[in-house]
Amino acid sequence: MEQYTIIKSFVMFMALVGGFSLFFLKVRHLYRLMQSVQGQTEFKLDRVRERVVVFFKDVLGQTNVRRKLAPGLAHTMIFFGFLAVQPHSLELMLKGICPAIEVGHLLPGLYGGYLFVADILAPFVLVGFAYAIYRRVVVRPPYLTMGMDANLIILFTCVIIITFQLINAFQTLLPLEAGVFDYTGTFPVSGLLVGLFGLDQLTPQKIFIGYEIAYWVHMATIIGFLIYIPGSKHLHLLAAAPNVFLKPLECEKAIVKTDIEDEDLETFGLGKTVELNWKNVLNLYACTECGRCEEQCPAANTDKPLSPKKLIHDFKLDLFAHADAILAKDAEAVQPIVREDSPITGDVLWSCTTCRACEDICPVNIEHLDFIIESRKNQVLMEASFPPEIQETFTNLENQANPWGFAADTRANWAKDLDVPLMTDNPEADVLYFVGCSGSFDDRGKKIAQAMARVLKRADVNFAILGPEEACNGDVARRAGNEYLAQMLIQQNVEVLNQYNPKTILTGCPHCFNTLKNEYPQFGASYPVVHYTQYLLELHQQGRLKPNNKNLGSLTFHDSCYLGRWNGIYAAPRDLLRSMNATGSLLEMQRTGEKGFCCGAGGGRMFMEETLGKRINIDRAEEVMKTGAATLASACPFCATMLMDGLMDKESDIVVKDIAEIVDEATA
Amino acid sequence: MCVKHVPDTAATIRIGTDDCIDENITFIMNPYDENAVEEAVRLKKQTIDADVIAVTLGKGTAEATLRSAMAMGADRAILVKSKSSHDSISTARALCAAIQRDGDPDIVFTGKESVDNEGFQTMFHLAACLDVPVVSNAVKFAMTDTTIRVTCEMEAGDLEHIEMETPCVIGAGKDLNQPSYPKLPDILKARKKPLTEIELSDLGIATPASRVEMIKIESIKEERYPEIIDGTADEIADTIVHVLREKAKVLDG
Repeated sequence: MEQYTIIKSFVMFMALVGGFSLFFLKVRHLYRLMQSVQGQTEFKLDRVRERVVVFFKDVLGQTNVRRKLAPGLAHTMIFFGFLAVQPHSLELMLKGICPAIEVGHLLPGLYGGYLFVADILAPFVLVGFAYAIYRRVVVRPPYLTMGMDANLIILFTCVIIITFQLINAFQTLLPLEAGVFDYTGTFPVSGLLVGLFGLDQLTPQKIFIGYEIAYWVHMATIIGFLIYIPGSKHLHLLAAAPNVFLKPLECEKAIVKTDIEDEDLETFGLGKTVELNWKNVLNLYACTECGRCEEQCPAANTDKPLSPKKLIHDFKLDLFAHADAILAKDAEAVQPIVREDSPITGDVLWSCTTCRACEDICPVNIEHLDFIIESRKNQVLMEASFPPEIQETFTNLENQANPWGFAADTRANWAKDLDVPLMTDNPEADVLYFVGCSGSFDDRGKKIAQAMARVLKRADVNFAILGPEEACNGDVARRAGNEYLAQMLIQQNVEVLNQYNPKTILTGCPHCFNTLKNEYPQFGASYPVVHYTQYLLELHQQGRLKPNNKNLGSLTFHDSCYLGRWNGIYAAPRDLLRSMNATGSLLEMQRTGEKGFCCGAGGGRMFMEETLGKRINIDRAEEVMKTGAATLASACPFCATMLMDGLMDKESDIVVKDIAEIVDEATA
Repeated sequence: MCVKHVPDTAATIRIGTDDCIDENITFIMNPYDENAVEEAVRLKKQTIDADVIAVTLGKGTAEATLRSAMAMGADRAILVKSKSSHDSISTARALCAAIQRDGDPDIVFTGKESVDNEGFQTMFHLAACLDVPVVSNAVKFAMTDTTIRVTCEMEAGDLEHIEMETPCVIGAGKDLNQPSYPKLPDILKARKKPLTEIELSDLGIATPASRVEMIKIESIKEERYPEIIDGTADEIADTIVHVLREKAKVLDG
């Protein structure tokens, strides 16, 4: 007996030292890799108090993961159950080395209470995993990868929990020796096992052997799991919490401003994994491949080669494949991300509509778009590699400051008969209406801009437009990776804006809105920017826009990504529609609000062919038709065009109207 | 190769004072010259020892087009500065003088035409000045040692295969290649590449015996008089035939 205790103590000591050393070596490797990548990040650890709240809410409170209720509840059970067993497992490890250790004596009341709670929480892990297995075997959502990795993790964890309960059960049957903590009454669930399996009928010797077997299996599994974690997708266990803690606290964000004038820079954008920044790497570590991003992604949903989940996974594999070179600071030895045998192809990168559904839904706040847009930058600026049809768009933007190549000086022609003043004639205007290219040149867009102008006049707003002084806001070029061209356009607008110093900029397009509001400050133009749905709602609330109470029938609203997910504006357009159509109805589509499905135009996709998979606008048009609404209301001219095409293709009678047109009709 | 700084055809072109166009619009490299630059740069990539020089005759603002050519891969540029506009023979003589002052080129690439004046003449005058053979609207080009095989589109679908020796002048057509989009490092590098400026007067070019004189420049009046044709399908068809025959005079008999 004495001998066994000594051997146990020795083996446990070796196993713990070995196991933890291996674990720490692996984690240190990952940490060093994270420190060795060369990309710059603008991230600042600010607003710590808010971050602590986020940590409590999203990590400990598990609210983010429970946005998908059933799997979220399962995850919450696993999370708390697994966390609960850890202190006792740790105590058992130490006790294995030195039997005299009894934490129960150090914290008498508290430790007993903890064990009581842990013993109740632990079996919830099994409930959670039962659901996880049910989901994998029966439900089988396509976005969930079935792999050895996931199954091993489930097996490891279940063994840890079962042996934990067995240890506890046997513990209650062990003779109470002097100096040993009295476990009586601390194991309400494990205690049930005693009666259930008749463990108390066993001989003391068998009870001892039973305890020891449970103990060794428990320890072996925990140490095995510990070593397994850093190399598996379960790295998530370590990286998710810090990633959430460091998440962007606002939904609004700007694309990184690349210094395109720095002639010493050898490369622009993200061409190799060595050019990632540490925040990107932490993102990669945090992913556990839950697939929620893929479930939302418009590209993945229409059979395109992009899955945000797979993209993150592939980036992680590519990073690991070049870990040695990156650690050795040998950037030359790192291969480009897009290369012959790489799963990250041009088609993958160019399939993204930048709708941000992936980022919004991600329970651990991975920023997928940072990878995509920076890679696109590299493809365009360094490789001149992009879908060929967008080259003409680039040229048009460069020469005439609009994507279609209409003569730049005809920008104000849409307003010819409407008596809309230019800023040059009315520099003190209260509102600078930034019309955008679509409103200025596109036949459909011009009608929307004309409706806007009529509404503004009706509400007696002192506004003016830039006319030929306005250039494309830069969104298309920027999101298509052409940072050079985008900055050219932005600079052009910034100079004009700064000359007028506008009190408020009103935009007719969510893309203009987003860029002017969130990205122009990078270039020295910070002005209050409003999207017209917010502004018209405000005018209505001030009593300046009076609805004529005409029944406009049943409407459904299509969320624009750049209004919704990029800027969190969901209520204003809906409130406006309801007040303009008080006697009619507003129906919602199945995928709405934060989960609104993209029209397919974002990220410059408006100007690229959609040859892979099903067309996104048709997918969305089908959903529009399911609502039974007579009119589709849009708040973005690009959405309007895409969905009009989609509905036309489906030979539907649904009319697409921009909210500005609806307001015009409702206040005429 | 020779390039030209021209107004973007997408822009609204207005007539300014003194029978000149209002130049307050976007100017770009003549699109056919892009094909010329692309082909020259491509050829340089095949032959190791080549120097690609962009030459233009124009105002100081034409530097932008030369920088674009250098961003596309030209090694250096020559700008023959002149404030006035020139007919094709004077242009050709200026380009020829600038080229010969720089050295003896093996091949001179030009665009088959420039989209501003659309004279289609400069390359032929240039070849005459240089006393070398010339082809226009080249859609295929291959070179082995000093032999050049070139395919030219004479009319739509009418191809001629020509074999010629260097030195020569090649007028590039739209189908010759797809001009590549410049990469950012190349744009940045182009800013520092050498650009030689020569005053046209310094070249001492003889005034040609005959030349084109511009009397007046007028913009095309975009006047359209749409008519609505009503009636049965047969009546409409008859009216259309009548219109085409009598008013548009595009149908015979």
